[in-house]
Amino acid sequence: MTCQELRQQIHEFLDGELPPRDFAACNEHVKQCAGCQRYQDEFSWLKNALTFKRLPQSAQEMLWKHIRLRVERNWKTRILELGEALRTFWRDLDRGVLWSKLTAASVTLVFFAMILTQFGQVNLQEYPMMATLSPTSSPLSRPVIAQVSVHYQGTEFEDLMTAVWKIPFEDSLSLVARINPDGSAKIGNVLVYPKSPELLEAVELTLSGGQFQTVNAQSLDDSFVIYSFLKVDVYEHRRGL
Amino acid sequence: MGELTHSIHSRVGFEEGESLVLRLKEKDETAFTEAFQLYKDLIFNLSISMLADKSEAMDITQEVFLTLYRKIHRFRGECSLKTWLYRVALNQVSNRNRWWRRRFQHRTISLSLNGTSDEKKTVDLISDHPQPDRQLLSLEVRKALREGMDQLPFEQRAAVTLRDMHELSYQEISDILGVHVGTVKSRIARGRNSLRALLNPYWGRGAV
Repeated sequence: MTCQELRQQIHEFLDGELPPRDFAACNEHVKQCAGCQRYQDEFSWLKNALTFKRLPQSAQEMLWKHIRLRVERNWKTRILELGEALRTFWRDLDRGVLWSKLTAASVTLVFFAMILTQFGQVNLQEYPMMATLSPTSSPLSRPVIAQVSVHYQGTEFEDLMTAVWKIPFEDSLSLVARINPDGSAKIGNVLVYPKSPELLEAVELTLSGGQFQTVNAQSLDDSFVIYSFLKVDVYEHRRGL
Repeated sequence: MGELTHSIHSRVGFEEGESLVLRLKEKDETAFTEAFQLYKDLIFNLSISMLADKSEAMDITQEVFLTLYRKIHRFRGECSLKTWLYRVALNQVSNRNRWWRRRFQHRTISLSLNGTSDEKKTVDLISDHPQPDRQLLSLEVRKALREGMDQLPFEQRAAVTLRDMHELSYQEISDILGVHVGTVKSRIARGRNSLRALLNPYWGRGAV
């Protein structure tokens, strides 16, 4: 047996966990090698230095008394236990983590409350066409005018603006437009993507093309009308955009 | 060291059996008292070795015996009662240890190393039995060894404690920790090697 082999097996050797043949080989080597003898002595000292410590007698009696008290439970001890548990809980509570979690929870609550408040103001009954619109779309699909309908008719511009922002279709293009009796449209505001001047111009061309006049004949007298286009084929009029 | 632990283990081996477990399950008061007498030192020693704090160790011991009393019906007899109690104790110690680490990790405070003012509260892992070789140990080495044990990773400390203090076999430790025997071997080896490295300055100086 080499020194390296012995040192690899030293713990099993000291713990008596080696097979008899290996144990004998280790024993033989240690007797002959002073370095390994010293190595073994150091670990032996370590093993012996860590020794068993008993529960002190006085502590033992106190401990047994406490255990008995908790074992023989009645309503008084239950109350005491609850008090103890609460005290321990409070003692062990990591206040830093607690405050950060409470802050995060309150911010989240406020955030959701704001969203819910906003949703509460949207009366979906006013938007019957919403249910008919296809909510799915793909950026690769070619945009076409799928459906045009009046979402909201009002006289106050602020009302219109409020309503426009709540149209919950990601592909819709919402406009505040003035519809002239001859059927041409003047775009007042484009509130949802796209917003580039070229596209606005293209949209205006689309609108002035008269494709929606028949759909919205009843709303021509209104000052402002919000139209929502699920997909607007602006490319029909402006190739190369 | 050997006499005490051997006597405990032999008594445990003798007393521990199906009858004690059955009596415990029937909430027999004398069985509970017997179990306390048999295992109190084992559990206390394991706790104090792992946490190095007397009051924490007392708490753990109390909790372990309350668990024994209240949840003995969950003991299915797949291992010995002693192994089951060791597992319960180690779980409790692990929870407590985790809590301490989480709470005080940024303060780099050790349970056993609270400075000189708390020296009396800290635990001496070295036997207090009046044996001549123990008395030769210098305070410095005792402190270094105590610190060394405290610095060991939880798993290594548990393995070294169960082997060197409780004198359990590798197989028993493997059953308690729920790991392979090979893992137990390597944890013991690493733990002892770390302790030996820590005590390097003292080897050959006569203190050790």
